[in-house]
Amino acid sequence: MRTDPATLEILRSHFNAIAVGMGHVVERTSFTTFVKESADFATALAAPSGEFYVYPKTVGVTIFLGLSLQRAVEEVGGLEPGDIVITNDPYTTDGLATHLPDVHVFKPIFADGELISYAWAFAHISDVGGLVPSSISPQATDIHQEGLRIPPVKLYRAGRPNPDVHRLLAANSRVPHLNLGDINALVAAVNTGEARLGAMVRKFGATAVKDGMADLMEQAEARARRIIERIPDGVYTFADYLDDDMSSATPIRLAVDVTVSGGEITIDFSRCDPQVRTAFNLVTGGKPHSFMLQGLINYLISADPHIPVNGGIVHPIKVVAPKGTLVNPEYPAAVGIRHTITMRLYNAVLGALAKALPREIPAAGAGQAAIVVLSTPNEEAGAGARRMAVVEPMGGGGGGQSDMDGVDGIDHASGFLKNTPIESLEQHIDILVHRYELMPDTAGAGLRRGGHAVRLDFEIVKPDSIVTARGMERMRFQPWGLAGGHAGAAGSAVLNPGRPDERPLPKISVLRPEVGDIVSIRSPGGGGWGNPLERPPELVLAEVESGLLSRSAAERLYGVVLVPGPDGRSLRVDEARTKALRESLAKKDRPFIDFGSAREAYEAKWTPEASDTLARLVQTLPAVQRWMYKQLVHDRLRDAEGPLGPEDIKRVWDALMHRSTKPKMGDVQQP
Amino acid sequence: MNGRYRLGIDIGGTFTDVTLLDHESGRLVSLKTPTVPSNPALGIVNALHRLKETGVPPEEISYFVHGTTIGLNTLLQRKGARIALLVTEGFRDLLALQRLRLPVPYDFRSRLPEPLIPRQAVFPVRERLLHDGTEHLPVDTEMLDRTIDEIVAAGYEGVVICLLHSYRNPVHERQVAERIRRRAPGMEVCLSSELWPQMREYERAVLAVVNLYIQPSARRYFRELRERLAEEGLAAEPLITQSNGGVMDIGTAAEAPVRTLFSGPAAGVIGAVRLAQAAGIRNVITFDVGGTSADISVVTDGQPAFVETNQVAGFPILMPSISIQSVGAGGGSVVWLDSGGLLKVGPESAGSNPGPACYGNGGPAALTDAFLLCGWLNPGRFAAGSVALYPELSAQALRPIAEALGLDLASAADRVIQVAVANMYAELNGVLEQQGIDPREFTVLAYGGAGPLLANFIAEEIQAGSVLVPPRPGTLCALGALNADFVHDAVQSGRMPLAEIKPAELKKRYEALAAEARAWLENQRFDGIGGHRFDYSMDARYVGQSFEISLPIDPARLEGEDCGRIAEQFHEAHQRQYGHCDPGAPVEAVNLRVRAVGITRKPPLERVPDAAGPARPAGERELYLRGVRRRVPVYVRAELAAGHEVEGPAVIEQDDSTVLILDGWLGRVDAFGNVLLRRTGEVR
Repeated sequence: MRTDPATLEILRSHFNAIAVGMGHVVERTSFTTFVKESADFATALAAPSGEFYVYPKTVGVTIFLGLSLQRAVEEVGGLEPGDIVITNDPYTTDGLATHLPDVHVFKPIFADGELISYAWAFAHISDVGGLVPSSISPQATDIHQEGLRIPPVKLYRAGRPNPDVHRLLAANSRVPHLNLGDINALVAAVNTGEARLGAMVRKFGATAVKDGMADLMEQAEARARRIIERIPDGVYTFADYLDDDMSSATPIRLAVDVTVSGGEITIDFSRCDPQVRTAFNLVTGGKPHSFMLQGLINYLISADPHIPVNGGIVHPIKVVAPKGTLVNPEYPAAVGIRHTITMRLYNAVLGALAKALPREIPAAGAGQAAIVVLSTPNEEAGAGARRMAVVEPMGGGGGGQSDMDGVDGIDHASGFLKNTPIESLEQHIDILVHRYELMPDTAGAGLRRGGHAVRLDFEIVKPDSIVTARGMERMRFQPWGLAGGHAGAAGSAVLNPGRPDERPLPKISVLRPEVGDIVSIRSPGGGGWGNPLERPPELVLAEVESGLLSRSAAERLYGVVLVPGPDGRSLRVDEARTKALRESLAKKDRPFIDFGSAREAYEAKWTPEASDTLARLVQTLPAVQRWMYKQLVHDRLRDAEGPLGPEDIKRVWDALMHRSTKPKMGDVQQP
Repeated sequence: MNGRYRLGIDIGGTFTDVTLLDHESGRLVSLKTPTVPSNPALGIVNALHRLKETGVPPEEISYFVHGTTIGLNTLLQRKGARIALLVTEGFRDLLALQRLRLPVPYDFRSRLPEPLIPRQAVFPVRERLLHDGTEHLPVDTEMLDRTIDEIVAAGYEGVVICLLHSYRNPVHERQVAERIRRRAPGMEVCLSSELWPQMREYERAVLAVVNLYIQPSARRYFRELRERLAEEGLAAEPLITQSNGGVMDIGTAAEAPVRTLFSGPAAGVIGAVRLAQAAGIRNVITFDVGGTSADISVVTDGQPAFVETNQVAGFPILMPSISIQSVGAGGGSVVWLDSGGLLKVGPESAGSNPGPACYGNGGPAALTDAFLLCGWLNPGRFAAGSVALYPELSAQALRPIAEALGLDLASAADRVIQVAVANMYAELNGVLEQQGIDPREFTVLAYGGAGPLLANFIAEEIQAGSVLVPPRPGTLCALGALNADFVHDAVQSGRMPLAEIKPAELKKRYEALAAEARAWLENQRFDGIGGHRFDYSMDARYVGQSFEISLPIDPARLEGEDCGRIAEQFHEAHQRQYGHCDPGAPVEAVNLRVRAVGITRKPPLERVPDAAGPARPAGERELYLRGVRRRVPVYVRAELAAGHEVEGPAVIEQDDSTVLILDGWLGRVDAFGNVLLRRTGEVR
């Protein structure tokens, strides 16, 4: 280290003040709800290498921390003082931007003619064109359907605005003035960053400032290595699934091999499913991208809460992500809902780590962030005009961990979500909410149970209402339980619950209910941690009293027998019968990881070996064809008996490859 | 007012601070007595006895103002009442779900605060109002009666009612309350629509829950206090300070103790405003550094900044309070090395017990130890000599850290202070960016025990123009309380599109709120109110936006055919705040607010005599200051007179604090005894 530990802490405070201050500038001057209420923005300072050397913990979203500006800087060519670069394009920035509504802005900062840093800010802006208002549609099949791509270009050149770029942007949005409001806030933020860092250079000197940047990243790296060194060396494998790809019923499988060796960790996605034609793909350029690593980064920060938060944290992490997989798709794969994959990668990486560190890793949380949106006609604003409102963001329960129950109703992977007050919602749009409540018996049982799921029921009160809910997941494959804990409940959707015309709903893409219909959306619950038979009976009793656990579930899952107390009203634990029941239940072995019945059934046929084989075989084909061949193999084996082995897959594959006519997209069976 | 004195009382963990103001001369006298934790009113009685001995008869005290932390402590220690909550059926987990968002999403251990009422004490009521206040489903009284019986049987001490849209129409909440009162006489009931009828069910519910939760202990205490004061012959009606910087009568405080939660620091800001106003300073950053935290607030053009929602223990408190940011850095902040060897100060604090190592109670190395080792504090004069300090214990505690850093003790202590200053700067900078102010136009007003030691550093970091150190930095809260006005806030929520609503209708609603506030003012049985005013304001937004801008409303604008002028005012404010506006877009009001201010007669501030000659140091001391060891003059505050100048570097010692003036700064004493520091050299 070039800097002494006291000075480094002082420089850290000052850098942090700049980055946080930039965040407050965005908060204060931005225009839209996304940015202001949902806080879907971030600010940071990057070193000349393009990596962030300081990243605020308290404002904005944290997930961008391991990214680099390097490729974007190369793309734009030379930079001079006063330039400000704008981009939203994943493919020309190595995934700095991960989908098109995320607009990134950065400004080079010079000291005595030398480039010493970049000030960076991003925000999710309202609309960049594309198929649908707000630009995100799961069904988009290439990035050009998702809106305007802005490769890194200069929004300001030597301190002067570039009006051509401004005009081009304005012409390509449905709401140019909202966009401009938010982009101006980003510009104000990077200008503030430049001014503040300049003051710091005057105070401490350019050398001290540069040394401080490098040392802070080295600190973070060294401390991350130290945490990784505590993990036993070895290879830890795990796979998790998305229910389907929104165009067929075939699940998307995310398999990882995590190799820990000394202070380094390698995450290999070679067995991961191919890129898909729908908008799930995550552009990373094959580099250690923090969207792949959020679970691991969260673990590192949880293990050392005072670690300097910067790009150095990801230095000990290597990634193998073959081109054409979901985590390194080729242009022009669509990317709009890459957050769905990010949440499942969170589970996959932590699942692998859990095999090494079961006491330090939580069980799987709900693993979804479904944004339920209602749209109604808005006659006052003219024919065809519509009103839109987020009804509620639906997370679900968090995973239990060795020393704490999971959080009810929200999961750490989507823990930044904020709900809408019902009173405010009903004022904004015609809707009548019947229920927004936790659901009993949905938490994965465990010594530390998972978090309970949330149920949202709302009545349609206006004709021609439309409901969308992008991001619904875990309706088939449950959040897994860990160390003997049970899986959490799967999510579901129901129309008109409790009425004669009740019927289950599939994953909601676009739903057009009638007036008087009640749409009921139930999130997944979190997985439990540890053996539920070891949960103190009084905690089980308390949960029954609170109405979140049924007496039958208390007996079946926890082996706790409750009987009415002497007053006839309250319940008490029947110690003797509880002891006996627990002893008998304990005879049945619990799996270390409980994946739930749907996954067990799926894997009984589609064994992990079969899926691995297929994932590797499709990699021999051009990237854009892979999803189709994956689907063709699944179609051909639809009626086959399980379990399938690698030979079964190879046989079908060979038959497909040696067919005289090349298959076409139309050959794929529809669900 | 007949009596000659005003009395202000603040009860801290260790001491009960008593401040007596002679409102003829403006002279302030302070004294401390030990707090009696089991019965805080007893500490006040002890103080009254001591005052009597010094010749202040209780009968001569005409104004008694009291800042109480009883509500806050009950909440923080979670020792409140066992109460139940009634909510609209379908929304039983209102308190558990909160607004979802986890405090620190990436930390696996981060959790939302545990609700004050567990799920089994939350009961659904079958009823429903629509957003416009119309009834959709009447109250199911049979079900309600069963619930009431259950609540009684379970022995709950009180019931909070928070039903959807009750801010718009309280009819169902009232109906439910009525039923409870009839069926369970004596049961305490708190209606969310009566306490604070603002939209947002979770926040409104929490406010009412906190209120009822802390109410029994607050009431018990107020009753005890009243009786004791009467026994002592003190005739003045006790006034209680509020989070909004005003005072209220004890009846209001007993009804709504939630109004007292942030009253301590709020009173400090009011004191700072009063001093700054006398000194002719309009723009102030208050900087109050105590044992555990540094509290910061911004006063622009003589007006403190307010927030509509404040946070305590993770709970939102949806009532206007003075905006104060608390940074976990104070004299007791613990010094430590993190796992990477970085030098850290705080946020953990040694508090007052055990306190820093130098207190001799086995405490850890803390910021105060670093002050002592750098020679900034006089061990013999700390807290007016009431607390003995042991520099050798500071040295002992800090030595391992100094060794790990490879530094001698003084250098290590110096670095500790610089790290603490950098922390405070970082947080303060955030506050300034949030409010978008330019610190060069602001004066740092330093108080609390350690504020005057650090304020000059902070002023250099943020490039503030000047620093003001009041004559008694330890008594600003009391001064604020003794100068506070009666303040009552009232709100009405609802969606009011400015294109549709007529000014006459708005006027009617404002006048209804003002009438409520006026009735409250008239109810304050107090003859010291010299006048009153009603401030109207409005929270407005563009239709579709989810955040609001607060607009002051001139009652004269509530005339004419339409609300065009108010809309214009909104567009201008939007332009000012965000750099753009949309004059074609429709605007709606969300909250109408009225603040009633009963203006109390302000006692004069004490003046100090004019200087007869130049200020003379009482001695010299060796200081370690930013890496340099040097001898600096030491002045005694009590000896400084108006017009005296003290050139930095220098130390000014006084009973309740120590002032440090840096190189390149000049302190000048004004007519009220404030020391105003200004830069003499270039900006560093």
